[in-house]
Parts: sequence; structure tokens; C-alpha cells
Amino acid sequence: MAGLKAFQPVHETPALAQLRLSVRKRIDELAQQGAFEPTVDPWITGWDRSFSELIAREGWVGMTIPTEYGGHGRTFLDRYVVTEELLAAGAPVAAHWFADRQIAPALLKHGTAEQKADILPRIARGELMFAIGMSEPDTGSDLASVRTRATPQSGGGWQISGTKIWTSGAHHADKILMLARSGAVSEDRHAGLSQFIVDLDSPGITVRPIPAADGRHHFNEVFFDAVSVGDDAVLGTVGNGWAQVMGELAFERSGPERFLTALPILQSSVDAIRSGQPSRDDVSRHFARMATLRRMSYSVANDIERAVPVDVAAGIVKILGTTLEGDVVQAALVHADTDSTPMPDALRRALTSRASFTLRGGTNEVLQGVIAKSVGARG
Amino acid sequence: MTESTTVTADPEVVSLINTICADLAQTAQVPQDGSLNQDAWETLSQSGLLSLTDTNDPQSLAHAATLAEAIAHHRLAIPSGEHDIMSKWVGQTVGLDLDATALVITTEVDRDGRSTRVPWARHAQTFVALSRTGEGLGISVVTSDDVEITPGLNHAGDARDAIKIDPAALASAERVDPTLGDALRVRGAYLRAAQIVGAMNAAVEASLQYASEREQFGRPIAKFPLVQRMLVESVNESQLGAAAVDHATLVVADPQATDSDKTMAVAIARSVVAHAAGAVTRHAHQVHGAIGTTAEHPLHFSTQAMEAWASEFGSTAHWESLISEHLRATTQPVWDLIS
Repeated sequence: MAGLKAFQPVHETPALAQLRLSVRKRIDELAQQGAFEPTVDPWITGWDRSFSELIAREGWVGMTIPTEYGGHGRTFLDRYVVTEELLAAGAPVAAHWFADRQIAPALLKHGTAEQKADILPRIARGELMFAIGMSEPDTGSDLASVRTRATPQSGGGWQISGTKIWTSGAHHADKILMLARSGAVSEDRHAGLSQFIVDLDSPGITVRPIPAADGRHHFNEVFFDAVSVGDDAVLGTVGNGWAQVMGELAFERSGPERFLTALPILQSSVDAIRSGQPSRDDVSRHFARMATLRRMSYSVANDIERAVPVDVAAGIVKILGTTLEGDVVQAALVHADTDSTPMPDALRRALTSRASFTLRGGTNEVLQGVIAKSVGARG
Repeated sequence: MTESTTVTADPEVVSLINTICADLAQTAQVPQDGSLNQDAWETLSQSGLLSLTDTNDPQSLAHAATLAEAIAHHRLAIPSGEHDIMSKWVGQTVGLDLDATALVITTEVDRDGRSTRVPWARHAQTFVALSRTGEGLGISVVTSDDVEITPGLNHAGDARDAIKIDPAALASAERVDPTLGDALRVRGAYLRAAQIVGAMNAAVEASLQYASEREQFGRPIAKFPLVQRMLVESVNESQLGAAAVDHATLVVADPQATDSDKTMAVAIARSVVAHAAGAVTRHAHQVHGAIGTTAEHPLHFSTQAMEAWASEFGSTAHWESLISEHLRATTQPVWDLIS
């Protein structure tokens, strides 16, 4: 792949540019009206059901869901543009984030007619919130090692037991899409895994908060103690969970959340030099890299739209984007002087969440393995 | 415009360019004494690849940049970009009648007709000289007979000569748009960014190749995770650099874009590419070990070229200071500036 361009430059079409401007204007109005307070890391920590319902009425949730399922039948690029604008404004999109980003596309690809008819319209109305259950106490990067067990019951249905961890928003969400071992462990580590959609208020589920270092709560541990679900809880094909999960990852890795999380910090550094503080090389450099990463992310979105494989390109965006986010926050810390004023709240929050930038959505080291393989550096 | 493929390079042209350049590289030496590869010049000239520029066709810049990257990748000693991306563009913009085949070099000169560090000047048959006059900017087409050359080299051994044009040859300079000088420098800086991407790709490819062949402790060094990490970082940085240049291509070729848009896209590309090249150079040498530091090993042809080119048509610091000024000069949010 070296020498081959993994990113094709994209000019925004007039229609998308028009959409962007109208969305930007409307978000501005909503901010003026006090509909939300801009926040750092808004897709993880900005949980606000009423805001999700509000922007669903604007047509900004479930955009790619076909109209027959209550969605808007828009393209992936339309959704990309709207998502960028919401994140750039720091709008609290966490409540519908996973449902909109991953669950809707996964259901459209693998769901039964009943699942789609039941779930998709509620996602599009911004009223059905999802958590994602992948990691476990003993399963981090090595996702195929999940131990949560789904046992088929003689009368039909499944019984699920095990523990999921680092589950963002599970204390607020309605449902969880989870990966469990449904078959025996075999030579093929990727076989025997299945995805289930489970109501979080099912008997046998306990959600335990795991506060972050700054005391904020978005992570949870979710215990499944002999939770009974029907056969209709299976997403896709029993035993095909691994392939299904891998298919979701491109959506997860290359999106604007992988470089925009630190935008408010870069903005405050720019504001500082605008207010007369000396120019900083790091600000110019980070601005240049962020502008370029944004182009790369847009290019991946364009490829997803055209069904071009993007796993390597998405990995590159996530590694470079999340590393840049950390660099932007570090540079702001280098210039922070708290002898006369307290550390700005946005920077404090960013300092806490920066340790997660390069972990969530597949650690950067796992992604480096994917890229190493693609260039023949790893067997 | 529903889908904007019109301004990106045609894959068939890209493939043609890469094939021709790879063929030429089979027999070419990389001179470090400022000489020009005549064979390569003639082959590319006969293929029409040295006059791609067409100011009415934005795609032509993508093709010319692809050629500059490929030439840089293989370190073919020919100034396609100075001739085509710079001189042909000036010629078409101003309406000059320039010979299509022999090397044309465009440069700004002072009142005495002097200029320093002029790329490839000793090989030029024609010079387009931009001179400051009392009232503005003048342009003259001068043949090499009227130019005195003092040879010089850059860090990578490309010709960078001092010139003195006979003032009489500048006497009848025609007035041109005074912003032409700045616009030309922006194109020069853009050209160097594209060339750095080509050299960076060569260094990354060489590193991947070497790491898969060189065995230590009983296995290829590419099997060691710490080496893999360097290789992956090199791939990532080279892709980032290429993306920055490709975006600059769109903007520089866009008839709707303002001079300020173009300057900023090139400034961004120069910043990104310079730091990407720094990382790639460090990793490429680390992966190659001692052999990569020698004159006989070709790695330095790529790494020294990146170093040389990153400090021409403005230093990296210069372009980053322009970004700074731009950020300071507006009240627009950062997001509006990058979206």
C-alpha cells in the first residue's frame, strides 16, 4: 500500500455544502436558545434525551434509515456532514450516538423484518438509546476471547450470563447490543460468537457505575445473571458475530469523532493567540494536521458511501486523529498558567478524557497491527 | 457537480506516469552535481508529459503533480515542475509564447537582474524574469545567452545557481499583475510539497522492503513489533502528507478559490508534509541501520531530497507563521476554517 494513495481527495458537492450551512445555522440557533451547553467529548459524555428527540425532529437522527422504517433515506455522506457539524458545535449527542452510528446500519444489514420494524422507527425518533457490550473484565483488545455465554434453551430462546465492562451510557440506555459466546471454543477463535440485542431492564441485569478519574460517570460494568431472551434477540446469524462486529468497525473508526474531540481545546489556543498572546508553532502545526485529517475522514466517508473497503484507511485516520487530539491537549497544558486563574473547565475535562482517545474503538496498537498486516510487515 | 472526480488525477494517467518513470529509473544514476538527465527529459517531453499545464483544465494540475511526485520518487534529475507547474502556468496566465520543449525557468530578479539559488538555471534555454519596477511588477522572456550563471547546489545535489540577467534584456519588461510573484512562490512551494511526498513514498517503500529482507535473530526484522511500529508510523505519515498535498491540488487548481485560499492550502500542506517527512526520515534510517547512512546505499537520495526541498520556497517555519497570521487575522471559528 505504500505509495498507493489510501485517501482520494473529495470536493464537497453543492448539495452537501448547502446541507452543512443550513445545519450549522440551525445548531447556532439552538445554542442561542439554550437548547444545549457545548461540551468536550460530546459523543461520550453529552447524554441528553430531550436534545436527541429535538434533533430527531430536525431529521438529524437515523438519517440513513429508509423512510419505510421511519428514517430519512439520506446518504451516508449526508449523515457525515450533519454529524461533523453537531460534534464541532459540542452538541450533546451521546444518547443516540451508538444507536445512530452503529445499531441502525447493523440492523439494516443483519436484522430481521420484525427487528427492523420494531427498532428502527424508534431510533429515528431519537427515543431508543443503545449501549454497546464488547469488552469484558478479561477481554479488551482480544475481543475473540469474550466469555459471556449465551446458552440455547430447550424450549427456545437463550440464557445469557457474564460481565461486560467499559460500557458507556449503560445506566441510561434502553438496550444493549452485545457480543457473546454462543458455541463451543474451537480452533477457529472467531467462530461460535453471536450478537444479541437485550433490554437493559431485563431481570438478571445489574449495572454498576465506574466513575472516571474526574468523578464523571459514563462507564459501567454490566452483569448478566442468567438473563433470558427470545430467539428474536439474536442479531444476524448465530455464530457469525465476529464478522458482523468487524463490519461495524469501519463506521466506528474513521468518523469525525476521531479528530474533533479536541477541537474546543484547539479553538481556545487559537482564541489565546487572537487575544494577543504570542504565536505558537504548535497551534499552526496542529491546525494543519487537523485540517488534513478532516479531509482524510471525509474521504473515508466518501468511500463508505461507494462501498469501497476502508478498514486500513479508517485505522490510519483513527491512529493519527486520536494521537493529534492528545497532542493538542498536551500543548494546551504546556501553556496553562493557573497561578492567577483556575484551569479552564474544558481543559480539565479534556485532560481526563485524553487517556481514552487512543484506547476506545480499538486501541491504536491493535490498529497498527491491522496496518502492519496490510503492508506485509506482519504475517 | 454531483461527484467531484473531475479534478483528481485520471488513474490511467497515473499508471502511465508511474510506469514510464519506473522504466527511466532502471538505467538512471542519481547525480548530485546538478546535472540533468537528458534521456528522461526527452522521453517525458516526447510523451507530452512536460507540458501538461492547462489553466482551463483543473485536472491538469493533478497530473502534473503526479508526475512531479513520480520523478521525485525515482530521483530522476529533471525539473518537470519548474518547467510545467511554474513556467508554463506563468506563460498561459500572462499570455507568453514559450517554446514547448526546452527547459524554461521562471524566477524573480532584482533591479540588477540578479537572483540566487535559482533551480536548474544552468540547464535552462529560456528564463521568464519577474522584476520589480518602480510602478509594479514587470515580466520579460530572456534567452540563456543574456544570462550569466554561477553554479551552486542544494543539500541534495540539485542545481541551485546564481544568475545575472543582462539589464538590457529586462528593459522592455511588460507590466503584469503584481500578485503574480506571490502566486508563483505559492506554486513553487506546492511543487516542493508534492516532490517531498514522492521522496517520502520511496523511503517508506525502501524501509518495508529492507525490513522484510534483513534478518536478525533468525527472522526478518519486520517481524519485530517495535520495527513494525516504525513502519506503520511511516505509512501513516506518508498517507497524511499525500492527503495534504492532494487537497492543496484541489484548491490550487480551483478557479473559484481565492489567492488566500490557495496560500493557506499550500501552507497547510507544507507544514504537514515537513513533519511527516521528518518522522519518515527518522524511521527509515533507524530501520536501515548503518548501511542506510552510506554513500553507496540509495536511501539518502530520498531523505536528503526531503530535507533540501522542505527548506525551499519558504521554510516550514515561514509557512507555519502564515498559518498563524491567518488564524489571527480572522474571528471565524477553527471549524469554519477547516470545513
